[in-house]
Amino acid sequence: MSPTDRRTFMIQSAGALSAMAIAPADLFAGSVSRADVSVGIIGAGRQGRAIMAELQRIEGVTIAALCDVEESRLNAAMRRAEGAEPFRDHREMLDTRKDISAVIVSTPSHLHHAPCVDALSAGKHVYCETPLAHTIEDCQFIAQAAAGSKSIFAVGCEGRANPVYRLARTFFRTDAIRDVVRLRAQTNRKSNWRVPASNPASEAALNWRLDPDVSTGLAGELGAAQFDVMLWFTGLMPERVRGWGVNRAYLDENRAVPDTIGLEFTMTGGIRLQYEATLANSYEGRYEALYGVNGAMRLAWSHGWMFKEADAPTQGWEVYANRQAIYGDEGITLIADATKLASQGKLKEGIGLPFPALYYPLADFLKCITEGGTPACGAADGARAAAMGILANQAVRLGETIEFDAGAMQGF
Amino acid sequence: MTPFSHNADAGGGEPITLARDAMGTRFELLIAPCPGGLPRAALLAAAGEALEEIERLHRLLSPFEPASQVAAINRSAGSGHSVRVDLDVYDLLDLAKRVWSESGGAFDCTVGPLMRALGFRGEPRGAVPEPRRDMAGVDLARDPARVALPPGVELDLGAIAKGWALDQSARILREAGVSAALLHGGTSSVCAIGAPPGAPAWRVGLRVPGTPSGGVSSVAVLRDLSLGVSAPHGRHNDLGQGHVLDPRARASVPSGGFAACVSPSGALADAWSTAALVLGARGESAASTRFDVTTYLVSAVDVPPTVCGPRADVFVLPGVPGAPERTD
Repeated sequence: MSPTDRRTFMIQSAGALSAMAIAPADLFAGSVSRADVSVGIIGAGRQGRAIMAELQRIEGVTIAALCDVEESRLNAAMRRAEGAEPFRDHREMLDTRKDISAVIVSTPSHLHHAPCVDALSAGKHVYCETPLAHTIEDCQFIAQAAAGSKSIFAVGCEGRANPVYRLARTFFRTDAIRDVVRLRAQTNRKSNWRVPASNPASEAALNWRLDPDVSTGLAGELGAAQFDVMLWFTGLMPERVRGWGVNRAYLDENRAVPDTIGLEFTMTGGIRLQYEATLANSYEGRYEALYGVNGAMRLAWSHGWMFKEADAPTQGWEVYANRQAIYGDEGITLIADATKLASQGKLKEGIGLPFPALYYPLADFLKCITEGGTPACGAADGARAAAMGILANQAVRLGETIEFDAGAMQGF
Repeated sequence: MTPFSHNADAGGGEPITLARDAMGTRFELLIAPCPGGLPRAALLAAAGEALEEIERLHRLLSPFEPASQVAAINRSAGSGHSVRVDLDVYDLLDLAKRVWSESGGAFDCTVGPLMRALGFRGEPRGAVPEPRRDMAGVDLARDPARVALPPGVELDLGAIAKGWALDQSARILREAGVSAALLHGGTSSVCAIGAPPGAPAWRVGLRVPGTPSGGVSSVAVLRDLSLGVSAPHGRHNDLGQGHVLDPRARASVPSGGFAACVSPSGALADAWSTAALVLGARGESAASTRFDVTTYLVSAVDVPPTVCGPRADVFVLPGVPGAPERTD
């Protein structure tokens, strides 16, 4: 099932509140028209191939090299990348292809450290998938290496580059929400984390997500990017986390990594962030919700909505907002430039971003390379989000409350 | 970690059935565990990967998903600029254009505006768009892959994408070592991998026009082959016209017809079933001459069915040994 769409959500969220859809004024905000960049991709699994597909849409980008230690993954990627040179060792790729200026690190999370550091040492710009690493020590090491480099280092926390989230954050920072009282996020999907291995020798390498010695579990692999959204919006820091995890969907495999988890973070000031994730059910998909005394905000990657409390003060912009009947109530559809969009016939159900969520952090990274600037999510922010996932995963595994080291979180 | 052995727990057991909603329909797959074959966990992993591939292709190809590459191509129509696409999209469009060309325009992925004008998209019927557009205007280039559309042209790959998605999913299953599986998208596109244990092939019932409700009158016998079925019944506009269009006549094909195509390629089976229905008897030979496609065609009610192509024995027709008993 795809992430919650607008129509579904509007029906499910019937209530007395006014709902406001959030869409950026320029639907193509955050896109990049051209980037003459030669790219090497280290890690050609599903995520690496998805990244490659997005890069292939951008004018000027050349996929010069692909690297993976697993032959099946490398072959699968090479089928879709004409002209790319295959490598089994990332160091050989870095030594051989001096023409590459940007490196994508999409290896398994516990194998981010070496390619990130080596690519930085070779003077390459680096985009690393989230979570940044699988241990706090690796997070610190990579963050320090990035800080000491002149290269651009971006982490694929998608929210910070997403135009819907950027617009939503500007509203969040006004009195539209005011005084956060609670935070909530979830990722529900129907998915088997085990991937098929064509030979037994590849089993462990391909199914690293199910290996508790190296996997950060659902908390790290799915949660880190969502925790980053909360950190970025609120500026709050986690103080402790407790969690639970169960295996309900794949009982006959006796998995050691839970397929369903629940977390409760205590953030600065006692604010609670609740997080749930499952691989067994896709109901309501993936979203983040932020609740304040004036309203609530729900963000679902390609769409966002704001729900204003009846007694919240009027801020002025509502007067100009497009009004819309939503499940028997009159809601306010807040879409910047709504009049212009309506004249173009674009203001209708189903309006969404013109690119997938994965496109935006990649476009942001390429823009930083070609035009200058700092990436939406740098190494320090990526490390903080990953650390939340790593410690939350420990809380799930141990069934204990884990305390965060405030100094370490600030010090990334 | 609790790794499983590829030799342990192998063989037999209940079939694995999983489903996902994509491309406006329901995709299902059934994997038959084989004695001595992959353990159940490996089969489940392969099934999950195959279904995720279908979802990925939906996100890539659906014209109704704003973030899809096909939607981006459609938005660019008439802009004078081409759009860069990945090779999945390019390869599918290249195949679609070849079928369009070889079918003399009977198969056409640019009928979207015509579908809308004739009232098949949930909107009131309107004027048939002028001037006439077709796939001739779809400009494909490689290195890097890019697509350009003239004004007024929209891509909708619905008549070929399900079969294409099944092809890609089947490749994943085969690479994972699955030897017996049946996949379908909306029951009109079917892909068979191997055969069920103890049987020579998968047998898929066909409900040809005139068959009593719930019954089948013919059978497609499939082993490492795909099936595409097309018929005008099932969805109509407010005038009662069927949803399969003849792009050349710019009108619905007459009711009563039915076409089923079998090919090693699900995309070709899917696309040619539409083309064959539009072309009638002429389409059968066109398909089998230029592609490995075998067509079972009922061109009109009360017209005897014909089978044409290199694999004519895959269709078991009424009155032939092996055909299902009539239920009427």
